Amino acid sequence: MDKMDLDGPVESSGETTDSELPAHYGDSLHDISAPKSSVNGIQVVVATERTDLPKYVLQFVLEGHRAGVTNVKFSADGRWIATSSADKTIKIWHADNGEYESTIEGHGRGINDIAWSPDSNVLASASDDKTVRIWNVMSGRVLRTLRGHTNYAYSVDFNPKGNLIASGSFDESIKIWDVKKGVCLRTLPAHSDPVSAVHFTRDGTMIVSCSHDGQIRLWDTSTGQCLKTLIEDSNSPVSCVRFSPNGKYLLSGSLDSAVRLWDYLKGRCVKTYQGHRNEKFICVPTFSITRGVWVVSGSEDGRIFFWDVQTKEVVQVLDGHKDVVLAVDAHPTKNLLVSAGLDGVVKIWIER
Amino acid sequence: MNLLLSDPFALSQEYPENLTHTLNYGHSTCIKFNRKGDYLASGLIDGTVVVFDFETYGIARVLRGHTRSVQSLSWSRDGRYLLSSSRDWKCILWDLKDGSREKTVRFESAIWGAELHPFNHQIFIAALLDDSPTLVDFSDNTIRKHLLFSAPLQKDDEEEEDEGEDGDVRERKQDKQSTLVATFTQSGQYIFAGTSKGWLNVIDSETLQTVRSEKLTTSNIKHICFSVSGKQFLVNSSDRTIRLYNTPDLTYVDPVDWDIDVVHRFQDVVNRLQWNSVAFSSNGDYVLASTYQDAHDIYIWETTVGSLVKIIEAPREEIVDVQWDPNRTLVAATGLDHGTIYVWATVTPQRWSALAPDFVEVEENVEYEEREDEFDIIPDEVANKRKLDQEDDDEVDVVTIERVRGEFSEESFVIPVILEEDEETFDSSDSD
Repeated sequence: MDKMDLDGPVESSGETTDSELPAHYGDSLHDISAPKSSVNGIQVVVATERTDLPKYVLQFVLEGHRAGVTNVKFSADGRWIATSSADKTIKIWHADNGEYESTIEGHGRGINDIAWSPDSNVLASASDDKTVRIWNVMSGRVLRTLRGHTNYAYSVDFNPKGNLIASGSFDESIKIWDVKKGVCLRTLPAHSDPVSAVHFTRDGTMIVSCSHDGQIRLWDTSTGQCLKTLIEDSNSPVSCVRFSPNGKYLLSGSLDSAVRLWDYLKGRCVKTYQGHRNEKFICVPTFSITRGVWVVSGSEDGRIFFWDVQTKEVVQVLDGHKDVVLAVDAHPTKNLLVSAGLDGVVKIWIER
Repeated sequence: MNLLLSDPFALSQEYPENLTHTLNYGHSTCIKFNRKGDYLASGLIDGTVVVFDFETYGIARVLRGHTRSVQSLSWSRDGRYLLSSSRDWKCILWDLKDGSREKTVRFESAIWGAELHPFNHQIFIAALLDDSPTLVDFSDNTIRKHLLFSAPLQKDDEEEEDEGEDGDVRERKQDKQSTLVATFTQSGQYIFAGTSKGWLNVIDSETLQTVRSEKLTTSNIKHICFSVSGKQFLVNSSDRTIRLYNTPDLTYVDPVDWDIDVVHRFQDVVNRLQWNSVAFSSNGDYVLASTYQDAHDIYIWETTVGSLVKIIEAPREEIVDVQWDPNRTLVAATGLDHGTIYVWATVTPQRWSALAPDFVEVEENVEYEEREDEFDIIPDEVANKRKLDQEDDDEVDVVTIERVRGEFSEESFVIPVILEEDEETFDSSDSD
């Protein structure tokens, strides 16, 4: 409903400053991570010697949600931001200036996940009211209501052609829906614990899902059969998983405070990114590939961490949220990042 | 991308055996897959053209415009345009982006069939009932029709002999031929036309001259179709034989020197049946044909040896039009009585070893040998540190997109899903 726009005086308001960043955060990180380093024995240091570090600064603050924001997504064409919240609404904002556009209402309970269609005209949302709804973004009207899950719907994703939707639910199954007819085509008996995330590959032939039972599974879209299973030894619940932009790797966040990169053909984890805290909530990690290849994730202490994909070093830490940062998303073409969390505030960060 | 993880045994299944789907929307008379094989166009007896989405087996587009039964369908290369010809003497080029009519061309007589140029969706060839085959070109917004000849190109020595008193006889023989089927070659350089007297005319699509004629059979040629690779072509004729030919080298060899010799003849020697329709398999190794009248069968022959490998039986009705999906082992066919579309595909069972990372499929029992350190108790920190050290320091490339061999990699038009239309409430029963 309202937004505060702070692009000029961001630096002076004390949110983050790029000139001070490396040394300042390098020290404080040592302090804060001291208890963590005893948990998993890793020293977390912000890389200070490099010249190509990300330098994101706060650009806009978007307020209006009355409860925690569970997910935030840029549209495929990069013009809009959609945010879903526990206050049962979805809000649409302009990506370039943070201006509020509209609110979409209709779900009976809080919304867990949203997904844009490839043509950016249609939005799908998964909610605690056990339904997945498909909305026309411009008019805010509901086009289809997908009923079938017997418990909270946790996650939703469109396939790249826009004719299928996959949804994961607390009822331990994944359902594949026909968008046009609004019916369930297939139900996959996916896991033995709530399914926390689903994601399609860029050609739509496979779906990856993860669950609180610690497993990550790959499914064939056309037959619905399981193709592969990956498990981390600690069996800690996996809170989110997605494919890398080229579909060859998987990025997973799990509740042992680690974000992992998996090569699913080899069947093992090839990189682990640590330094943040994630033990209770679903903090969605993502890739930022517009300049430099980074892995970005929110943390339960209100900060946002950037890691270098190859070296696993923490390359930037953004502070600014007062509560758990639940979701981050990177713009498809520009150096923009949007973050949101339990404090109900959405922030857009820019790197010039 | 799922090819990398799929069972190699499943991928090696050569032809489909199980009836997996039945599609009912009106009475279908002809069907055609697009190049990628993810959409199937179906022409109905009332003139409607329906495009099915083969990922959901639902309807993607309903195109209304013809008033009589649809005769033939042809897709453009990118999958955005569809040409339909009908018994109402019209050909309509549809734009699948919104289902609108891009162009309508009227003819003076009934149409046997129309095919789009393989690279240019603004050129098509139509075989007409009472008229010469016509090449229609509507680039530059004008519809230009070029008439082609049905008369076969006579060889030089024959011409000299007949110049005398037999000149009249020769002309009369030529008059009686009409072209029943015409199709473009893979590159669009030539048009292969089949006549009612069994001649194959090869016409250059630029100069519109017949460059070569060959008498293949004595009866009507009903179908000419090329394999996906273009290396072979099939001719179905009324003498109940399907002939398989190797395509001559069209680019480098002069038409006069082309070798058009039969590789195999496929017949039903037992029942002496006519063949309703023929098709190639996606890799060109198999030939499909549907039988006439009571047999309700689809025969599959293997092209290298020419032997019959399988007979697929359709549930209740005679099969008219048969199509093999260009990229998968999947066959679609229309029935005559009800116009149902039957889909046969391969069904592979779930590989149970995929359900856990350490499951392996074995042929027989294997004695399990414990590792030395199987039951060692290692404190968590040390175990984690060891695991992290094991991680490669290799480069991971998360951005570059690599093509997987065996997958269709060309750009193919995706038909936009329109959700607003309330009239398109489709149910999977017949709609008459």
